[in-house]
Amino acid sequence: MTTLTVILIDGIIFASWLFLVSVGLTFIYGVLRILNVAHGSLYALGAYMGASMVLLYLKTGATPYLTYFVLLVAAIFMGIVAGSFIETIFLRRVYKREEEVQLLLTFSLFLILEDVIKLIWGVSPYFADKPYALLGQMRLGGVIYASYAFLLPGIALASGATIWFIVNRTRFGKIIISVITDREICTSMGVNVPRICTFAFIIGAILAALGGAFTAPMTALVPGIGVEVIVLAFAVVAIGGMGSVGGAVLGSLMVGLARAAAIHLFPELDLFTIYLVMSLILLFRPQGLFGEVEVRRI
Amino acid sequence: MSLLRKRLLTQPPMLIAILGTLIIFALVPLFIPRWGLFLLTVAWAKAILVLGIVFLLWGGLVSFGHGLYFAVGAYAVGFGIKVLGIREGLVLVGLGIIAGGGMSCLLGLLLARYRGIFFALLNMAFSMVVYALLLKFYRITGGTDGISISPPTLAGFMPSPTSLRLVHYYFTLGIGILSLYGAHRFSSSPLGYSLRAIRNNEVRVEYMGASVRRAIYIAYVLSGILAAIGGVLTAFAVGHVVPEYSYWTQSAEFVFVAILGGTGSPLAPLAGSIVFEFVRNYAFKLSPYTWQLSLGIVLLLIILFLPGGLWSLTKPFAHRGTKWILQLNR
Amino acid sequence: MKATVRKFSFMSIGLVGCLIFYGIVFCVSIAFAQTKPASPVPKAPKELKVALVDFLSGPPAKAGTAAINAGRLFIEQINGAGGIGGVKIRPIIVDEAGGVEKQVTEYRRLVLDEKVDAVLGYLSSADCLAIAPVADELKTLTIFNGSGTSKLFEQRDYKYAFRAVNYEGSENVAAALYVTSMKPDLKTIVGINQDYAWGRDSWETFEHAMRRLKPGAKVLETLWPKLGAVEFSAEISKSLAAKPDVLHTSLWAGFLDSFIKQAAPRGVFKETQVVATVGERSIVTIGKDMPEGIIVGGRGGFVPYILPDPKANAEAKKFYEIYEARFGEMPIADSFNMVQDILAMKAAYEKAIKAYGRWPTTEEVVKALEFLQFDSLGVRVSMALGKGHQAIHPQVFGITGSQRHPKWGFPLLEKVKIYPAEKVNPPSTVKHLDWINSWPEGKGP
Repeated sequence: MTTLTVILIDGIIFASWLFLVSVGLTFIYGVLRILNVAHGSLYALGAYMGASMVLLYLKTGATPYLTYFVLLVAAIFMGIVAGSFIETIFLRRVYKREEEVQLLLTFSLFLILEDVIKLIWGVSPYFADKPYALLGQMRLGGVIYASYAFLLPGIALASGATIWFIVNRTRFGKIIISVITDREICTSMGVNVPRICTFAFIIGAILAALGGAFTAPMTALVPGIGVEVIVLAFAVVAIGGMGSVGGAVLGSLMVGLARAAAIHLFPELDLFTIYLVMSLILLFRPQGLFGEVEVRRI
Repeated sequence: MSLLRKRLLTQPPMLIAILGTLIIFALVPLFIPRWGLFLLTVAWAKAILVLGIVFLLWGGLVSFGHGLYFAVGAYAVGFGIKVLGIREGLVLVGLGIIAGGGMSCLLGLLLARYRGIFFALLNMAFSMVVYALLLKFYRITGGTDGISISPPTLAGFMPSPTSLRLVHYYFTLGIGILSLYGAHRFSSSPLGYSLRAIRNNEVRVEYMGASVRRAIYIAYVLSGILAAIGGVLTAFAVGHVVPEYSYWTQSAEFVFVAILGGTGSPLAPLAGSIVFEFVRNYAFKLSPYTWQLSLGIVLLLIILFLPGGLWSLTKPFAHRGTKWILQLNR
Repeated sequence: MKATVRKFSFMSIGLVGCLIFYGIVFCVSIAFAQTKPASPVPKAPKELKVALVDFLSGPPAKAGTAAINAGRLFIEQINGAGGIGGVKIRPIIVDEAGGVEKQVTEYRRLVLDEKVDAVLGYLSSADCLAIAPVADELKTLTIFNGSGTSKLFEQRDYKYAFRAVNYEGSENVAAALYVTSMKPDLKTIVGINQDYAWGRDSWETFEHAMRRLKPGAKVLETLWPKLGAVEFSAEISKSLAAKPDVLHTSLWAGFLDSFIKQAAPRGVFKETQVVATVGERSIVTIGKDMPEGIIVGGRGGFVPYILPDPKANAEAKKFYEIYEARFGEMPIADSFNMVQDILAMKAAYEKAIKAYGRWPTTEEVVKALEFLQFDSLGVRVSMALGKGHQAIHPQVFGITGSQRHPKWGFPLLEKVKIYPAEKVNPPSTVKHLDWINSWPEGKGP
């Protein structure tokens, strides 16, 4: 039964990571109805910014225990800056166009941001692993884990809870729900819809950057880390239902556990499981598990 | 007026344009070096594929997964040579058509029911499944290493090493012109028109009695076949096939070329593909770390300011050209 | 009827302008290409254009940059001493990143557009397998170094493709010999290797060798992370759960660095004996955080300060000094790989020039390079395998210890063994797996 425990633990860790990278995407889709291909670049920006901030901070010789706070600040900063820039200058122009065009616009932003990252941070791998090594290790299910890995579920829960709180318990959240339901009526009732959209995009961008920043200590940062993330985030969002945060939770759990099971039991299939699950769910329930069926307007 | 001239000038302007393209590109090898010829061959091969994407764009559908058929065509060549021992290029093209057509007939049954984002995502999902298949079954597909393609005989005749690329170019050109003609016939057929109508308003087309499902399904199958042909020809030109052909960024590149060229005419993908290949190569040579940036900016500008793609720049000339031909007719 | 005036938007003018600009650039570069003198001449050409291809971006960036730096530096030295046969070498640097298809296209561009005389480099085994047939098609001298797959010359014969550095066969045989000598009571093995030619071949060689040397040993798991992955937590979990005596990995450069950084906090290096067949680069890049007790070899058999040995060879000493003075860091295995390629090319050209008394054709250089023996910074290299296309030379293995290098801070290797070329390579016409299978059971070659 050690294998089952290991699968569960690995699955939950991976699921938390998936949730972090996809909750921003689904939130943005829910409010703005745009599937943001540049989400992967926001993730990468968060990762690089987090890593360089941590490296800079450590050079000052201050206590390494604050590096987690540094990562958080870097992510929030990146999310606000990149998010507002992208939304106000580019996305606003294509709100009235078809969704394919919006998709392609975000794709062009992705291409641009990939090179921007190369130009700013260079092409050599970045290692900011002090936060990872600092927390030590713990033994669970007969296997030693880096304790850092258990930070991820914590952050995932925290961000999920924050989103839930914002949407369900604040006035801002209520306005967002009305914008999602009917944009025109909101405008006619005096809501500053463009500003709400910008805020929503910034929240999504912060979430993406958060995912990147807290993943950075675990791996080598190289150009192109955003590419794989995009397709994983798409898969989770499509499975869970686009626009549904609860769906993102369920989707990440499903994909995370499936992948962990595949790696431990059928290692040759690990790459498949994600796309296979996505294809199956989309075939039988195209709107995703918690998604809404879109009624086509004639 | 001579009979030939009269018959020539009463053809639809598109046919004249295609004939003109054939003549121009048949003469081009005399003026450009071997390297440019290689780029042009690859550009033509991918242009055939992008034609398929344009068909779907006419119907208002964007596919982010046509790399699947591209890879199917390319690996059909790989397996055809490695497993079946086929050495003849025409047979390999046929094999690619069968493989791509079979795959798209099958997947089209499922995918033709979807629209919009879901169509794009499902296509992407399937192409990633194929990517994973090609990657993981190392013993059969060679995994990341891919499969090496040695040059096949073309119509039974094995070109000499010096003329190899030239012969490949003409082979690709021939198939390309045929595809252009096919695309022209498709676009001016009732099915082609109903496809464009579907993009406008699907429900009205249904009420008119035309079958929306049939139109989209046929467009999808045709696009799959064209993509597979593109894959076969690219495999011949580059000499190596890799699983990355089915990765989503490759499919996105094809959509990029389609938007770059525009959807106004079958010649548009050709223009887009040639511009893309040449610009990408020279941009990469000049500055390897900013070429994605330049491509992204170009795409951005086109989406925002030139939605008809590069081809829409020729509209005034096309208009005048048609007027000129019609005047000659009097 | 007045024709409607179409208003061109600013942007479309800009786009057309860009296209015209690119068109002009294109035409100009064609014109330039066509005014270059065409055929080879009996007297020497103006310069020898050599392309150096290696990873300048992505996880292998440090390895590739070290190679390119060393290549450039060494070419400068050669040019300073008069070049090859009086001809100066002009290096053209290319980034190997972007995948196999891109590299094949780039190779064609180098030969057909830039008109290079030779191409050196290629770190990825996937790239070298794809490029070798094109080298023969385009009849260009191509010398690989970093990519080590044994498939290259054992599955096909090539005329224009060479590898002037040893391959994974020697590394993994040496690894097997070393680990069985260090840990004679080992019983279980796990392999973590990347899923492509290099990883698959490395594991195959190691497994075969271990089966002959330790017939009772059992392989518990083989794990195949994708080439390009930098996240190994699942593979680490799985191998920790299996608790093997020995963990074999051919992970390299930035990939190995990531693996070590993810595995060290989880105690992998305390629980099992890790054998990193090309771990030498990571010693230098990770530096003082490198865990102790890892069995490490160098790609191409090189480990800085051990092989080539600056104390034993004056040229080697000079190279170390110049390199460190210029780049402020020490050369690593990849640096020596590239230098060895250049020396191979130089030796072949010089042999052909001496034989023909004039500048040789590519075919004559190729003939000269086959079965050539030459000296590379004190290392004796012999192009003995693959019908004269594959080099063999000594192989170094050691264990990371607690002592640190006084100047650079990386852990020094202890219990160093330098295996002579003949001990870790098969005789000339035998495939390496067949040779391994012919060893008497329980004993080595």
